[in-house]
Amino acid sequence: MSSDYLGNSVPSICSSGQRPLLMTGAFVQWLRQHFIDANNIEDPDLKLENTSFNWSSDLAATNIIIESYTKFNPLQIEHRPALIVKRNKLQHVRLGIDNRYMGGIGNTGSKDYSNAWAGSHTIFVLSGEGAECEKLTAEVYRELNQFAPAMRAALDLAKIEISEIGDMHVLEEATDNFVVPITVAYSFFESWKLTNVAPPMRAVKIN
Amino acid sequence: MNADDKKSKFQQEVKKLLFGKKKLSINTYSPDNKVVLRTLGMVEASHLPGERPYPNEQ
Repeated sequence: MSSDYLGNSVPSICSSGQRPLLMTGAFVQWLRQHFIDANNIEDPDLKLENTSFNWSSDLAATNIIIESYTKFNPLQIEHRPALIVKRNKLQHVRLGIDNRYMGGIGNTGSKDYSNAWAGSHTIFVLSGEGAECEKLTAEVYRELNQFAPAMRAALDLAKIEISEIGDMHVLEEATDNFVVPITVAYSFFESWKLTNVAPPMRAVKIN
Repeated sequence: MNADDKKSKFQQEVKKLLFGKKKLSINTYSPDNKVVLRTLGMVEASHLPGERPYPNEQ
């Protein structure tokens, strides 16, 4: 089970937020859970039993590789199709001046802050055959597009949508393969509170 | 060279002809940030609406 994601679990979002590694792991897991069972697969050609599109946690036996970018090894793929998940830029989005909630300081001297983040992940669909690559692309983007509302709720995101499905290219790292990039955009909020150890004005002296 | 090798070589040549200069690298690929923000309904703004722009942005 060495290929399984071992980072933060999804419920840890409550305490630690939507961290980059967790988001990558969520996308990898989402796709693995789709391809692990032929009944989940929509395309009749990809759905056929004993086709090469069922994912297995056994890296040697699996017929489709679903991994994060940092585990991507072109030699390991050999002639198998693959889905590689890579995080892109995570951008700070300002909601107010200095990220502060306006309206003054609380009774305890604490201050509330909030901002949003906008980011994206790209899923690279790799295959040695052009038509297979297009069929897998459709299978992946339809899964991501249709289950996005459920994942938005599970990952506590403000929004998650497919931003772009790129055109087909030959992969530079392994020129035997075709590649299509599918980019999924998402945003979420981060809120926090800073509490002073002592109130800013402890006493007022009047002589 | 057997028939399979020949076929494979032929397919490689066709691939080169069709996509030769159009390679994509996973290492360097980065989506267009404006497209990502537009999808989310956000715009690339360095100041809030109604707030005065910074002097070097005027």
